[in-house]
Amino acid sequence: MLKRMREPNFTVCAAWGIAVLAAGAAAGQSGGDERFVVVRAGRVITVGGEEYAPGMIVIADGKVRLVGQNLEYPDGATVIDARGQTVIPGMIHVRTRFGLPSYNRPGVRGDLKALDEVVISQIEFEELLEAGFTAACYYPFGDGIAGVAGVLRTGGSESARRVKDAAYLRVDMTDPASDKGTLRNALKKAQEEIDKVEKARQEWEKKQKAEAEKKQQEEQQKKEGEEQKPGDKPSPSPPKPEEKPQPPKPSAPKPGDPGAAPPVEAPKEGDKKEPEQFVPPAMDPAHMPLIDLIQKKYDLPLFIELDQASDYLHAEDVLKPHTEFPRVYWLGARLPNRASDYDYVVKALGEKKALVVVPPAIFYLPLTVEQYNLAAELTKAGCKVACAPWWDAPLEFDRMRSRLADLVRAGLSRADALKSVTAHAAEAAGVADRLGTIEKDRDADLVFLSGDPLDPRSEVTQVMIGGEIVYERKDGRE
Amino acid sequence: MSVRQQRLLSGSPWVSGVAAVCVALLTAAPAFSQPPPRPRPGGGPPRSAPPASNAPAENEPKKDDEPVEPEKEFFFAVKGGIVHTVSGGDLPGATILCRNGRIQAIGTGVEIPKDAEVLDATGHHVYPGLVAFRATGFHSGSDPSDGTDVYSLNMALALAAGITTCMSGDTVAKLTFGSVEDMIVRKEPLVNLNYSTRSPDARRRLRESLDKLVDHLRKVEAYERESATNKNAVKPDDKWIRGEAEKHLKLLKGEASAEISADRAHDLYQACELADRYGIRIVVRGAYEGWTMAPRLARSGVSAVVTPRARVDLDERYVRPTGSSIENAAILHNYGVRTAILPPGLSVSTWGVVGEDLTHFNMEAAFAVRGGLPQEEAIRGITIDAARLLGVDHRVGSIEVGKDADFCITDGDLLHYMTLVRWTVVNARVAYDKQKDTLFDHIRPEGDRNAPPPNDYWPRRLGSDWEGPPLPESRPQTGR
Repeated sequence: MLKRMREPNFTVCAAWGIAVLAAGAAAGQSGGDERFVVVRAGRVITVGGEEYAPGMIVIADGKVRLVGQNLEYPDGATVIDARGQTVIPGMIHVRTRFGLPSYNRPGVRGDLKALDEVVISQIEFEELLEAGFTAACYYPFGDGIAGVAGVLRTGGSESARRVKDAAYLRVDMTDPASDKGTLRNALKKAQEEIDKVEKARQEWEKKQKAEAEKKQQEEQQKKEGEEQKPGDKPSPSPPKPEEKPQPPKPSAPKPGDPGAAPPVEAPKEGDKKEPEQFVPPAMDPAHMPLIDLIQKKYDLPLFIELDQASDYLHAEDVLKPHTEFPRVYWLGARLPNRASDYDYVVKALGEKKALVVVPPAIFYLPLTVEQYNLAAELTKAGCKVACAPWWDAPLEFDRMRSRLADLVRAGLSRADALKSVTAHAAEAAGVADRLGTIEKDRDADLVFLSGDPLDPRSEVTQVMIGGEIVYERKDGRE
Repeated sequence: MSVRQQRLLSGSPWVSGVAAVCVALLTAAPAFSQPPPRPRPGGGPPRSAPPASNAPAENEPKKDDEPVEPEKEFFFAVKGGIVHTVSGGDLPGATILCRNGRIQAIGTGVEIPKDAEVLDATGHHVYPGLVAFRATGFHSGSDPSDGTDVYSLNMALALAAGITTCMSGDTVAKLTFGSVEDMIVRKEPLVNLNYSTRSPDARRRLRESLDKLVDHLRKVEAYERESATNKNAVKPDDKWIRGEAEKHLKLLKGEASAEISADRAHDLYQACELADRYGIRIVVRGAYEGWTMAPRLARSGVSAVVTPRARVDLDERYVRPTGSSIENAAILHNYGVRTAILPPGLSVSTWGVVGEDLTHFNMEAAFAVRGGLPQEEAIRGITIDAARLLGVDHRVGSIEVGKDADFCITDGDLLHYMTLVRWTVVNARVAYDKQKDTLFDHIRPEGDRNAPPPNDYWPRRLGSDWEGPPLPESRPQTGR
């Protein structure tokens, strides 16, 4: 049976010191108040690196500190004995709306975040945990550019649930007849917003310059006036300085006036006499993610959803001027008979070394009985392939590992199959720096299995999130 | 009034009776040599000279419809085939060299650049890509380049029939299989008019609208004349020209042709009268009684889109000849009516009555030959003449220097029932290859008409080198 035991004085104090020195130095913390958890497993599949059988994982404060065999760990560490089990990094569901309602919301809504819809207590995360998913990327529903997806952990303390608020911007391209225009217009609007700010900035600078010149002129005139005053003869001189400053007065506001269209500038003038800092006019928040991308801030990739090979060409057609945008493709399929013509674009995707998310299914080529292992072919072509459950149902979550086994039987390599739900999935969800592999300084989100992950007989026995066991199978067998 | 108004309004030298002359002129203008390139208006690299055609373009080409030149130039050549230029006779063994999707040179002594993609069509016939005057099911969406599934089976079937360009919705678009670029050829070349004797009210409304617009155009002309001397001249109000009126104005200005569905003689007469009265270009679709009044159609410059296989019994209530005739296309041609050919069904299908749709586009033209139309003229009816009626003959419809590199390469005479399309080239890209597609690759794979089908002719879409998914090692490898 599973045992979690505290083992007093299991190691000597010297070893404790070495472990802290070895591991703690990089973390830059003193080991005094850290919480150590140690997992002793029959097998540790790190996905990122090698496999250890038996293996050990030392976890400090919810982060993996060391992975390997025969590691040393501090005295007071909690040791989880899972010597009959296999430990893999927690699986990540890249594209889900499990537990959320669906509705139609067309248009460009880049300001909406899917995580704002989520009420954690209302979603049965147990279903995801049971299947071995420790994180889920919730996407916003709707056609067009529906909003921004975010990553949640499926268990653990509520405060640590949110892994990433903005994982990707979902772009629907499943109906290019309308979606292509939506994206094209959105990009155009984003560019217009940028131009608007740029124009306002130029006008502001122009105005600043004009005002500075005006000041200079006034000062000069003052000086001249002062010089002239002592020069006697008061009658002809006063009209001159009066006339001179008058022409610049109407001319000075002119450069500012015609373009003073941004409404921000008017109140600004009223509030403060001369703002030193340029206050840019507000940009449309719904287009903000695209504006950022155009301005070369590549934090938020596009998640382009496709239905067939042709949609890929349409998406690329719109994004032709923006080849450098980071993007992830979801290669979905609408057809119930699992026919898909993605074989036409596999080569093109491979040449780009694209990051693609596919359903874990073997497709048929349209109008043939030729089976086509899309995930394997994409990998062979050079893509990074992530797999996501085809639809959001507990049964489908449970099937995920056996579906991957199907892909492996049909030609996908075992390592790629495991990566597709862990490392590559983390990359697609933009959380590769924290999740997806068992490595130093990654979150200790682990899944304990009774056997090999691709063996359909093996079951999830425990799930650890942030170094704590959050799920334990009730009727678990050894 | 009619002739004066035509000259006044249409702006185009295309007037009634010129049709036959145009046909004659165009036939006599082959393009064997390559004239020096002229600078392009967009400032881009020069492309080859326009088609050496003396006939005036029926519908003026729009500049914004011209495809954008790619940055890197690419060459494509078809060599060794019997080139049927359609507009300039046949050239056995000629090489067609294309640069950036346009034909650059045609002839036997053409040098092929080293980096060119070469298609060896030895033993095959090279025709211009076929043009369907109207088709459904190949493109979708209001803008085909946005909504079309470019890997659809329908498009593959149409390409297998040799079709490269068709009118879909209100846009002339190409069947660019596997690409969404350079798809649109021309937008809104035709205005659909309801001008049938069955709806006299619609006819009255159309005439009223046209009269009002003619009046408006006169006012505009008067204003232009007056504004040269009088600065206070008032420009006539044109804000009311919206929707239908805008389309009708395009007709009067010669920027578009009118498409009228008219089958029976009395409807055709009405169309002729409309053409005479307003000087607009009219294309009648159907026209199965056209043979009874071909001289009248020719005199009014009305063109026709016919279906040679149409069968309609004569109507004994009339004392004039009625009903359809297989000689329809031939008679219309003899009187100088420009005629395009269209099958009864306007889509493609793999079921239903075989041969009545665009899957057998060439067979429809063959029926016109059975009715007495010369073979070359029948081919023109599915290529250059159809393109001309759509106002896109400056780009497609014949093999000429400067035109788009769209070819239909067959393993025999285009109008023979045994003939299959071997390759279809669209924009200098092989869009259909019979041996690589699953549709007809098992039929005469070596081109030998007497050869039996191969033993393993299971269509393999991924090519013969793809062996399918590997079998698990534990199981004995039995082969597939």
